[in-house]
Amino acid sequence: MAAVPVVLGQRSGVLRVGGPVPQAPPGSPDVHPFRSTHGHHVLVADGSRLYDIDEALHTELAALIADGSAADALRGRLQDLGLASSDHIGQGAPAQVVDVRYASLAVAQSCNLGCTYCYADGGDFGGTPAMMPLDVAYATVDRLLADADPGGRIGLAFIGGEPLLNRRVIGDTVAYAAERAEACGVEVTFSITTNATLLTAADVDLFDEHGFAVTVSIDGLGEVHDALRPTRSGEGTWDRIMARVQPMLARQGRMQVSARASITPANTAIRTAVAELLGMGFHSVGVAPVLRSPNGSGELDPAQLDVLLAELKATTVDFRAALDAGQSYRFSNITSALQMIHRGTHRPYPCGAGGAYLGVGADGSAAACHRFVGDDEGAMGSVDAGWDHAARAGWAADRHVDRQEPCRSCWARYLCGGGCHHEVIGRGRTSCDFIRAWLEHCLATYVEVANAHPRWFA
Amino acid sequence: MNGFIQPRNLTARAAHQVVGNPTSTRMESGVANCFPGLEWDIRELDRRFFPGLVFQFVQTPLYPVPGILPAQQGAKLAWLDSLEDPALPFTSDEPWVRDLLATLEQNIGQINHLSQGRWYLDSFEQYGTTFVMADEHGTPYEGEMVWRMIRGIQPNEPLTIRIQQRSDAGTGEPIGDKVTLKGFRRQFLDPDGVVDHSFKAGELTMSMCNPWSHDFRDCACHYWASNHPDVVLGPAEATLDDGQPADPTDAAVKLDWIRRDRSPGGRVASAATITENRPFQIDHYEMNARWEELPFVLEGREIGAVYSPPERAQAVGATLEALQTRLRTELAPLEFTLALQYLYAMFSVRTPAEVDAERWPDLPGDVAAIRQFVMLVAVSEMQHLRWANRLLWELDQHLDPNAVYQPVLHHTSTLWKGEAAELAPLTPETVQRFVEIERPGGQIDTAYAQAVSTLKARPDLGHLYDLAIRIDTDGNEHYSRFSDIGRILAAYPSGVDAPYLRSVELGTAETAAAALTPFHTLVERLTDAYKLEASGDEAPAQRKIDEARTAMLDVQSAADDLAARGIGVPFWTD
Repeated sequence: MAAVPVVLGQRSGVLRVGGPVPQAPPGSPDVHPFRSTHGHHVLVADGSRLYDIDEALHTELAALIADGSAADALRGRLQDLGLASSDHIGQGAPAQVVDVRYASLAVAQSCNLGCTYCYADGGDFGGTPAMMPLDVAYATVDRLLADADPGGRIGLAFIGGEPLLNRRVIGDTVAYAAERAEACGVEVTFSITTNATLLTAADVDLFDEHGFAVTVSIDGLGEVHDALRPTRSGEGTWDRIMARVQPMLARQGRMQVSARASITPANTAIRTAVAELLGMGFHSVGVAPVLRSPNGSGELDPAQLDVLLAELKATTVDFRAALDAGQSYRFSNITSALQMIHRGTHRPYPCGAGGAYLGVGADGSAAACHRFVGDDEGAMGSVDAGWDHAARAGWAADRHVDRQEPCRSCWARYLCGGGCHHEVIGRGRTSCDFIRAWLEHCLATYVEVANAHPRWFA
Repeated sequence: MNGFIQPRNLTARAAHQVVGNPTSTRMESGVANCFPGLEWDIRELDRRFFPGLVFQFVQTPLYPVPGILPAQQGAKLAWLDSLEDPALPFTSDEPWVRDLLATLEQNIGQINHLSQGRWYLDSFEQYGTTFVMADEHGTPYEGEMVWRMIRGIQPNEPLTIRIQQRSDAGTGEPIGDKVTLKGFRRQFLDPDGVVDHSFKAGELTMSMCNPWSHDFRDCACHYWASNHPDVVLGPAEATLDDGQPADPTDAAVKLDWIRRDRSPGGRVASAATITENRPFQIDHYEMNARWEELPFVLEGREIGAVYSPPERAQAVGATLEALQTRLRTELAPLEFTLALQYLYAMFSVRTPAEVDAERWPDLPGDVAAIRQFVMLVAVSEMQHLRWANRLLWELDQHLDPNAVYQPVLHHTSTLWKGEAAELAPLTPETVQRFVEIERPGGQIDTAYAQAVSTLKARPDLGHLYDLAIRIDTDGNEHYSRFSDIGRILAAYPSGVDAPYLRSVELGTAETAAAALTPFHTLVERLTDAYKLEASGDEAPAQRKIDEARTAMLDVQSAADDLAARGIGVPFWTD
């Protein structure tokens, strides 16, 4: 089948320019046999169940999978083996749309940096720079609390642009949310994603007092970072943020500070950067490939994704070595994948976007997530008029991984969830082979780590 | 062939079905997991967290009596159980077991050591971290607090504990040397979810304030059917020489399990609804006093005194070749024949709509039950037919890889001791014949007991052994079903006046064509399916099975219609 260069916008029916749609994934949609240094295993997609098997069964399953016409026989065999079960994931949309519990506040749709690949298009989401007024932020808090039961939890994420450009609204909103949540008997959690160039001691005090999860965007070490994350006038920012971040790292307690890197062709060599950043005292470090940017800048092609995959695997070696030495090594890509595999996490969506999580723009408009702010594609009401539950229900129905192609014939679909909605709708599924290869690596690593360090999963 | 499969991650483990007891009987599916204290007390597991010792978790009394012993709270050593603990066999070569037993032995004999005074858990150490059972002022933690800490200990990982004596005087301060013991935290459940053998009967429930039957008092049949039966058959105490109850009518009455009047005179049929039965049931307060009077229920029947399982045939094994011959010439044809005999008999029984309910008010329910019972046995025989064929094709292949298996799907004209196989209505005489056929120690039972013995000696054919066991075990249930039917029928006139029977005569190929045509299709499809299954072609085999099922439904519907018009289906003609 020839590659299709366009992707149908799922909800609006608008044709959008996108990348190629991958061909049907290899293997069976039901099971995926794999090997580790401890032997043979099989992942059953439904319920993300993992079994140890013997070589003979591996060979038998692999042969049934390789024979494309033997799908029925394969299912029958799984039934005989006791590996079939009632569906863990319903095929249809959820009967009820979940309440919105978490919201991101794009408090500043503007940024002091000039990263070319920013999903927010320089921080303003392709529009006019805007600052969120206090009443929009308060109204968001009120709306979340209105749906929360006593004893429940809500979460607020401050993002941008660069959110610290509007720090007054952040401070006031935190105080308002903490007071109102306490009155309602609801727990509230806070997080912020910042480039840290504007960070002050008072900001750190606020984050520490309220136990923020702070994510600092760092795309490499020193010059690499400088080249990717310059100011609008082209100056590097590494030294500036290091001077501001290091005191914050020293104060971690209730507050946790993580580093997150967007990976472009210019910074795929992540292994050293992860080690250095963890060494500086970041609570965890994670990376994410840039697969969609407003102007195509910085996007990774398949060959570059292969380079990144090799680096991810090399970084896993460091993680394993640290575990063997009785130390922690919070490289979140592998740590979260292993915990998910251990729990058997199975999900029909890649994230909570449009479900329990919505993104709120500076003007009070609500979107499926922070990436869809200002984009009609993911519009979901507003804090004034209320969340658009019909749009959310439609989203839940349309974005279900079993309704996605080629996801529904892929063994990895309930681990992957179908990929970031924003990237998929904008550019198609361009990284499926990369994701499957990474998950295959994680599955084998899980078996090996579980055998060597079972307590790590306790 | 079944491959090796071991569940690894959490969802796989949760979905794993262990062969054997139903999941509802496993401890991990117990109600107590959600409601600690119902069914069993989870704290009692941790009494035996350390092999060889049994602790008791003691709380300071809310209203202490003056003069009681000081500092009673914490994990108190209740007794040493090292002699009976299956984790500590004195013949063990495990260094930690030998060391632990030596340490315990050394400390038991000495004055002021473990056999005397009050000993408490002082601390435990795992993964290099020590947890002390007292606060920073040295005040011992309460038993509940200690229990929670002990629950966090990882099983099957090295564990060191220290125990120390407390003074009976003053504030109960620690005295003497601490005794250090090294071992492992006990694994409370084995991989199949079975409780460790160190726990004695009643130990997990001994601290409950009410018997579980009290807490389940109002759950009726809606929730806990497995351990709280709703209605039961009464104990068949007086029996005749052949093992049948002297008063079959009485033995067939459905009784309320928690009826208050438990005298023989109180054995009146349970009413149809919970509300109607409620006034005649024991209440919560009575449950606490009289729970021991509630009898065990086995096979739907209250067990009055000692339960004696039906005697099993003793059988000596035969060769695989002899078993193969017997399956082909005797057992598989027998299963085919019995399934059809039972079906024929079932069709001869009226439906609830066809009986005179004004004259016999209980008859609609009784005929519905009888038809259901016979159908269940017939279906079970059909399953046995498939298993017998599977035993055959696997034995064929095992004994001669080039052998071509031929399904056995035909009847036998002789059943037992020369008795002819007969398609007959479900008269009391027919029921009695069925009882004799299925009776433990009878022909079928003996034959399968021999198959079990033969296969038991062949570990390489373990899956065939399992199959033979299942067929063999089902026989007891068939026997009970037909015995129950006999008791039910005894309440009604027999012969031509039997109000439960249709007047059915054996039809001909022409008059019964509506049922015989799908029946022949059924046999053909099953023949194809078994051949395909034997050669490993499972997907096409499944399609044939599906077609056979459809044909079976057609047979059932047509045969029932014909029987209602007085025509019995001649499944065979010789």
